[in-house]
Amino acid sequence: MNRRMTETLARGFYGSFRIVLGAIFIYAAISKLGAPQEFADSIAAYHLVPGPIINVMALGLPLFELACGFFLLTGYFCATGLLSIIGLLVLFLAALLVAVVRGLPVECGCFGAHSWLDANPWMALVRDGVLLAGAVYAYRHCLARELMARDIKDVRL
Amino acid sequence: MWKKLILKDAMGVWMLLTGSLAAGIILNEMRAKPLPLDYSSPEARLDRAVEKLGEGKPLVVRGEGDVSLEEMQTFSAGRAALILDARPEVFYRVGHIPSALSLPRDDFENGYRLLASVLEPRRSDVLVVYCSGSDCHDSQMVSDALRRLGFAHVRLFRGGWGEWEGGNLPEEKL
Repeated sequence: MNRRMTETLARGFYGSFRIVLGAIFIYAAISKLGAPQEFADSIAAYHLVPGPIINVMALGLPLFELACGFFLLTGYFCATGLLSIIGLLVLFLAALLVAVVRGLPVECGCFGAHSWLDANPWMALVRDGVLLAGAVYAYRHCLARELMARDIKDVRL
Repeated sequence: MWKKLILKDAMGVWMLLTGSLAAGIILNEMRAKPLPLDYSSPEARLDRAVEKLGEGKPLVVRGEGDVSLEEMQTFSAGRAALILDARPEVFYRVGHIPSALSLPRDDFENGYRLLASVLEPRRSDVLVVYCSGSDCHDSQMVSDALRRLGFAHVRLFRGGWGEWEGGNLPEEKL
């Protein structure tokens, strides 16, 4: 496989993954926006977040996810959106892993309460792991593009 | 150079996060029923609702036996008991046991007020509460709340919607 073909494939993966990830986060945000109390209960079930900030998180996190998803879909502030999503996925994975190890009967809560997508915590762990790997790859690609663009600008100057 | 770019993005993440939290709080204040900023557990919320609803009502501590699937079919077909669905209302709308009424655990106070005219005269009748299945606690919590509100014969269908649906039995939708 020559270099140009590899670059085309990487660009194709980056473009399509960005859109898929953005759509997933927008869907996740919308499913939680209308039911903040249920999302707060999901957060509380992990026993990791102190009581006084549970509801603030339940109110703010869906908007954060919505903004990230929007950035990824439109391509504006894409690197910020990707880094945010990496942070969220690391947080979700760590919380889920702790809950599974402690044997807590939690649903992921990633797509709102009682979602069929969150029924199995092991499936949620695998899904979040795959998304995290893809997001890290996409973020690296994004940074490389930005560096390349800066280099070209420097040469032009 | 990489480090600088990552630091710049991290600053963006921080701004986005604080902005989202602030926007969440502001938008919450515009809701018809804002979420209080202090978190209370489902048990505490239900306790508060029962206290509000049950002033001066007799307390029934005694519990009654669970209802089997066969008994539940009889209750549903013959309307011999008042069946209550403790799941969130959205699930009730998608499908519920025929003749069941919605009394969601997560909105108990409003649900109870809506059903008060049906429930209050039937204090000494048999009430059967169910939720999604044996893993959910909503039916237990709602039946405890009803006993505290003075209902004498509250029973649980622990198999819940899962067992009913698994038995390919008739269902109602809204």
